[in-house]
Amino acid sequence: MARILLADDDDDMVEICSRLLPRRGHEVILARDGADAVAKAQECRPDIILMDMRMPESAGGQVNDRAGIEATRQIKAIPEIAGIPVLALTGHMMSKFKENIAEVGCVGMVPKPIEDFGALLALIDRHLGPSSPP
Amino acid sequence: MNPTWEKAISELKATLEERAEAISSTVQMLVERIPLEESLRPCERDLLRMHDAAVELFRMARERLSQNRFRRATDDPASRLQEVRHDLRGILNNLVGRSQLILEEPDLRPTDRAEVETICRHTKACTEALNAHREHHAEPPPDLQLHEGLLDGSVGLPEEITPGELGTSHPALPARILVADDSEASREVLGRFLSGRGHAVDYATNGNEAIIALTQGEFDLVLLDLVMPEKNGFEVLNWMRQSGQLSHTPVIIISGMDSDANAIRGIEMGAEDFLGRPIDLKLLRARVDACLERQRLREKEFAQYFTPDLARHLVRHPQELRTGRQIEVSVLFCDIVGFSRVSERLGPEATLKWLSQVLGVMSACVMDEEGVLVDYTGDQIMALWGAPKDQPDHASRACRSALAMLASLPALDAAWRSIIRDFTEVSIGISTGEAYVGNVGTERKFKYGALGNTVNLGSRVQGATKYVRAKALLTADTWQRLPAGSGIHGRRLGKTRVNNILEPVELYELAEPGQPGWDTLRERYERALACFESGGWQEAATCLTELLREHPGDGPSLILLSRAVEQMLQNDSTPKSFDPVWSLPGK
Repeated sequence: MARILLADDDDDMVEICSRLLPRRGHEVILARDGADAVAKAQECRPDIILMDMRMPESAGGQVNDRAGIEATRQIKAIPEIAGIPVLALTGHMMSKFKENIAEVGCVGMVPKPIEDFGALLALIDRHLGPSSPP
Repeated sequence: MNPTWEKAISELKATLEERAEAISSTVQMLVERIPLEESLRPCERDLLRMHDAAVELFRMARERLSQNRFRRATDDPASRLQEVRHDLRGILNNLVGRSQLILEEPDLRPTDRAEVETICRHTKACTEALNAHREHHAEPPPDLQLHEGLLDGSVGLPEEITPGELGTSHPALPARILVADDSEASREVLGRFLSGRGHAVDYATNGNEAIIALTQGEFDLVLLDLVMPEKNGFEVLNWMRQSGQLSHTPVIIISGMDSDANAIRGIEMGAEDFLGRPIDLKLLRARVDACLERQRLREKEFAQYFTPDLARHLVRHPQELRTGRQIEVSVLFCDIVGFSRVSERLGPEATLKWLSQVLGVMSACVMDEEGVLVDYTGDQIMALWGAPKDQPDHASRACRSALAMLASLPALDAAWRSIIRDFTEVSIGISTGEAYVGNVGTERKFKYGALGNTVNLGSRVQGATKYVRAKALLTADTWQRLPAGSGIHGRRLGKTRVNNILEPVELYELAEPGQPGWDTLRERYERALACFESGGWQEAATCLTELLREHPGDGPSLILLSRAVEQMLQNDSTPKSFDPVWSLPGK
């Protein structure tokens, strides 16, 4: 149904999403760091991006709390992909993070741990919207 | 760190540890079912990863949220906590995700689904604890607008599950187990695991409750948490030691406390074993089974003597055996007649078969009357009534047991007659009186038994059967304790001096029920006996001769007649003082 880019360096999260989402007909593209996320977004043009906020900025780099924000900022700066909705995955609940997340243009924030993957899937569907390509 | 903070962190730590433990145990239960349930096989990988996650969650809570860690930390505790919380969230995320994957398995059984939902409930509680703690950190709640739809999709609570549905894989020898643990989640998981294995589980939520439960009930095993309110595990252990409970009720300590020192201390205080948290269910099962097995071996040792019920009781109250006591009992000796003759003819192997069957049937007659099988010596059984359990009707029980033995003989005889080419018969002696009962063995080798004149007399009375030609003999003390209307019949055979016992004993013959003309036989015999005892030998002899015409096989009449005739002859030649007591020529 939709092409979803998951940018997350957590193996378990990657495994869970790449098993859960295809069951609902979604295609999952994986990125393991910020730079990878930007590259895959350009390359594959996903319908929605699930962006973990905390991951390495680039391959082999240090895990960084702001890597997801940085990658989102870059994506929003590229006109061809700026319109792709980004959902922020984060364990941080600090208000400054939240502000940052909103500032860079994320359409939603999904707190980790995800209490209900079913609800996450519903949220994805909602952001895909009726206009999303089949 | 300020005290509010400290309290909040320690509460968070406790919640996470408790829930992580519950998750770990529940996952392990599911893992154990994999080999038995096809539908769980696709979930194996998820379950194993969930188990790792639960253990990691526990470890992280214990190590990284410990007060010491926070006090020692040189950096800002807030950012340190932030770090920990992030990692914890990752783990919880993994647990939730994998639970979801399993819940989506189409063939998942309802019982397994309920378990996974239980895990979800625990995970949710962890998340809530993490979120609640945020308030201490002046952090605003997450914007509901942003993740709308994520919070309301709560996971359903598991349906009621009957114990039988759980852990169906393992037939367990049922035992009664006390789980003393202040954590509800832990009690629930332990309880479900143990009852799933067929055990009856009682619960205590603190040390005092544990002690009350131990005072009121008999337990095969205690699972004891060390950290509990009211009284802690060590105090309970100490109470058990002082009250003597510890000598027969094994205790397995469960503790998440950080150091091994507690395990060592607990075992030094008499605990049987130790389990760390989070509880590994495989280890728990192995230790519980080992403890119960040891308990069962003890019961088995006791079952040599006692009925299974009594054996169970005594394993739990060993003091009733260890302290011997002087008490009125009835002892029964049962000897297989002609054993050496048969054994000579048959050879050892066949003799042993015969012997073991006959002794087996006789033993069953003892057990049916709830007697104690004190000993087998060669072809003889010794049984006891009146101890260790009080049995006011010990004499009646011994007599009924003897009658059952006699009644079982025709069938045994029919089965063995052609093989042993002889009759299968027993002779029985019963005596009643004071005896010392308890451990008559040594500290090293326990042997339950009875000592004293009553016991020696019983053995001699059994030996007297061949002289007085009766199958079963009682002493007067036994006879007098049979209540009116007991339905047990017999006749007085007269005073006899048995081998090695100076004091003469009045003997009674136990009559098998249903003998034709028994009442008149008894009456005429006893009249003849009275004549004999008062020196009316002639009259006695006349009476007995008549009696024998009607009952030609009556052994006691024949014997008394021969004694009367002997007296008449002796008195004719050399008159002397007459002693009606019959001194038996041998044992």
